[in-house]
Formats: sequence, structure tokens, C-alpha cells
Amino acid sequence: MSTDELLFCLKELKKGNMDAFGSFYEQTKRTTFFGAYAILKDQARAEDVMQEVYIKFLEMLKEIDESRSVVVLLATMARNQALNVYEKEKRHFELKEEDASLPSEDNHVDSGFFELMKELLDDEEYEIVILHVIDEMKHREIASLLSLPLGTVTWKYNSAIQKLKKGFQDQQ
Amino acid sequence: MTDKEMEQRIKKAADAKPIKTTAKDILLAYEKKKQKKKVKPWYLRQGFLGTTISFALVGLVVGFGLSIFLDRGVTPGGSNSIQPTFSLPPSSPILAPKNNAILNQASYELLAGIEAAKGMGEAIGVASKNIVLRPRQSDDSKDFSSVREAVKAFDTYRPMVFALEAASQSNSYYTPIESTDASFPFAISIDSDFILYYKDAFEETEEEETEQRISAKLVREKDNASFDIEIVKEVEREQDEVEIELTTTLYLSKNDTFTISHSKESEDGEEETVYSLIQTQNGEEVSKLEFNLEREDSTIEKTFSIEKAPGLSTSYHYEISDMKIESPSSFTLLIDETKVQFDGDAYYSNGTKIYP
Repeated sequence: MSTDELLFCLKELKKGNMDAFGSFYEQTKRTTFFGAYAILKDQARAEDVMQEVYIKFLEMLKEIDESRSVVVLLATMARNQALNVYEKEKRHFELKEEDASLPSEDNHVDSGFFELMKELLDDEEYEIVILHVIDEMKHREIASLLSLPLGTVTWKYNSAIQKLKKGFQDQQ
Repeated sequence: MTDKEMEQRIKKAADAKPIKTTAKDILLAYEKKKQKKKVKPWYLRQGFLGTTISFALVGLVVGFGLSIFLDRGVTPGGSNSIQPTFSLPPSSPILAPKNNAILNQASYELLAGIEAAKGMGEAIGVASKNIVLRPRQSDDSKDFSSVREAVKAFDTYRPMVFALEAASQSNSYYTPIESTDASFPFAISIDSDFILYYKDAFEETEEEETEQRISAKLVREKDNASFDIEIVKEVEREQDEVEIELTTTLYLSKNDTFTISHSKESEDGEEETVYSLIQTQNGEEVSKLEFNLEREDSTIEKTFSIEKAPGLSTSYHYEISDMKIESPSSFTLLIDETKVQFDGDAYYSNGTKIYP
């Protein structure tokens, strides 16, 4: 779906035509999901966050600025919500004095790939790769989202890709 | 494996990841939430008469309880008198009325922007639609044709004036703003109440738009309430402009020389330009770095960073970004006494020629 088609769906939603939500969702769900997954690294939690984000999105439809990228908006909302969840759960697990890492319920087909990514990359690199490759955000947009200089984002991205290449080659 | 192949691999893994939540699930959850909000609280469900009676009863109970509570503490000569305290909720600084009618408009516009943005978890694009800052003529009749020109003027400590314009109003208002604090990268006082800080010198040029945007932060001094805004200026894009930022890390020492060469390769029908940066010492090749510059429309992106060389007595640290190179290929860049050799002309993106 092109940007124009996405914008058309948004306009329909603003008019109250919820039939447009299906198409809108199908075209944006991956970006939103991975915006949360990049932080939480857990399928179930990421889907919960994704649902909350869409509900919030529908609640504030009228205030959405159509000139801005709705895809970037959703990825940003997902990220912020995921960070809230992460901080809450991190505190919960610290209080319990259990292992500080959040339990993962990631059992899907290609979870091995993302598991390897988690091992090879630090949190920032992981997030930048997901936002650029999967969410197709430009480096400038990522720099703005993460409040990092553009140069840092580009450098980290390239460094992450090199690490992944080496990691996968070693695995084979 | 090339970088592109790695990216394809990541995309494939992402596509293989099923997302169980459907649009229907979300709409159902959304409707449920809406229904919950519509349910009236108990004291409003009984109709007007019922509501009045309920409130009256609650008032009686509270009043009676308070009177007992207060009476307890009042004993002649007693030391355990309890004075009730009632504190008003602190008034929101954002809603505080302002004397300046123009800033009244501005602060309410900003508020509207922030409220709308609250659901987004952070203020995205707050006030950028409501408040636009444009350079206007200063006191000494200097006309700043661009924000960049105004920044340059600030660097030389000449007074600078910006107009705070309520962009959504049919009539425009102008408030003279004078620069004050030169120590912060860029600070302008607005009616001694707001200070405008440039968050960074980051410039962004949208590919399809002809606007120059600089991020800035508007901060109210007395309570530190702050709003992110953008300064927008329309620019004309030069058609053949090529921006190159090179991504790699080089260890540089004095008197090292580099050459850059380029060649064109075809991969899957797409033409790519491959650049090699070759470090030489005493005429011998010491290291060689290759990188691809991929065109995204008319922009080529990579970032060039020279980091401190460990163990060397003389070293340099520069971060070069937004380096504009006039086509087609190589140029000479001088960094202090270290020469990074290219053939041609090189400019910084603010127009300053790097070399010759």
C-alpha cells in the first residue's frame, strides 16, 4: 500500500469509517509490532503493546496530523509504550530478586534468528537494525526518534550489520 | 554475504514471524473500552432527583464528619488543636494566564499541541504546526534571508530578532525577541519569559519537500516547562547536489595520506559506486577500506568518523558529516596537517569550501 493509500485509509477512519481499519492495520502492523519487539524482544508482550497502541491511536484519531508519517508515529508510540512496560517489568523482577532478564516466550518459527541477533548486538544496535530494515525508517528518522546524532545511528547500523554477517557466517 | 543480503535475511525472518492479533481483535477491544467509558458513575445513574438527593446525603455525611473532627481539636488552652488544611491543586504552569496577549495565544497553542501529542507518549511535532519561528529584520535593518544566516550573525554577537508567529491565526502577531545567552549553543529570550534553545545543529532536508528544519526547545524559565518546536524555512534544492557522509572509522596520524578512488559495479541491474579509501605511509599502502554509496533518490548516506588512534602520540579526532561533494567523484580534504587526498572540490554543507 502506498503512502497515498495509507493516507486515504486514515482520512476514512477520521470520518468514522471503521471498515478502513482492516487495510490500515494490515499495512502498518509489522512496523508497530517490531517497534515494540525491538525493545521487549518478546512476541506476546510486543503484541499486547501493539494492541494498546492501536487503541490509543483510534482514540486520538481526530488529533492526528495527516502531514506526518503515520507509520513513524505508530512505531514511536509502540516504542514508548514498550519502554514503559519494560521499565515496569524490570522493577517487578528486580524486587523479586530473580534473574534480571525478562522471561521470553518467543517460540515462533524464526525465533532462532532473532535470538542470535540479541546475542550479537547491544540493545541500541538491535533497535536501530529493526527500525531501519523492518520498519523501513530512514536513519534521520531513527536519529530523531532515539535522540542520537545521525552519524551515530549510521555508524551503529553499519557496525551491527557487520557483526551480524560475521555471526551468521561463523554459525555456518 | 553482502550487506543487502543480510538485510534481506532479516526481512525474511521478520516476515516469517506471525502476528496473531487481528484487526478484529483490536476493534473489539477498542469498542469495549469505549463502552466502559460510557457507563455512568453510580451517582449519576439515578436521574436528576436521585442525583440531587445522593449529593445532598453525601454532603451531610461529610459535613457531619468534619464537624466532629474539627471539634475534637478545639479545647481551651489545649495543645493538641488540629487545624484543617485545604490545599488547592497546583495550577498548571501551562495554563497560567500571561500578561502578554501574544504569548497568551502562543502558550495556548502550544498547550493544544501538547495535549494532542500526549497520547503519543511524547511530544512529537509539538507546536510545530502552531508556532513557527521565522527570522525577520533586526534592529539594524539586517535582513536575514535564512535561519542559517541568522545563526551566523549570532555567532558574531550581533543582535538578532525572531518573530513568534501564531501560524494558525488569521492575523499574525510579532514579538521582538533578542538574543541573550551566547554560551548555550543558541539561546533567545522571548519577552523574558521563554528561552529558545536550539537542541542541536541538526538540519534535515526532506527529500520531497523543500524545507529546512532545525529542532529547537522552547523553555519557560520560571518553571522549566519546555516544548519542542521546529524552525522551518523553505529552501530551494539544488538539483545536482550530492551529499556524502562516509561510514567508517579510520585511525589517523600526522602525515598520513589517503586517496580515494571509485569504480562502478553492477549488481542485479542496479549500478553502485564503490569507493575505496586507501591509507598510505611512505608511499606504501597501509590499509584500505571499501564502502558502497547507495543512492536513495538524490541522497547518499554514510558517516565519516575519524577516531583517536590508540598508541600514537599524534592523533586527530574529527567527525565529518554532511560533506557535500560536487559531482562526480574525488576531492582533496585538509584536516589540520593531515591530508586526506581526493581530487576535486569539497564543501561543508553550510557552503564553506573545505579545499582548496
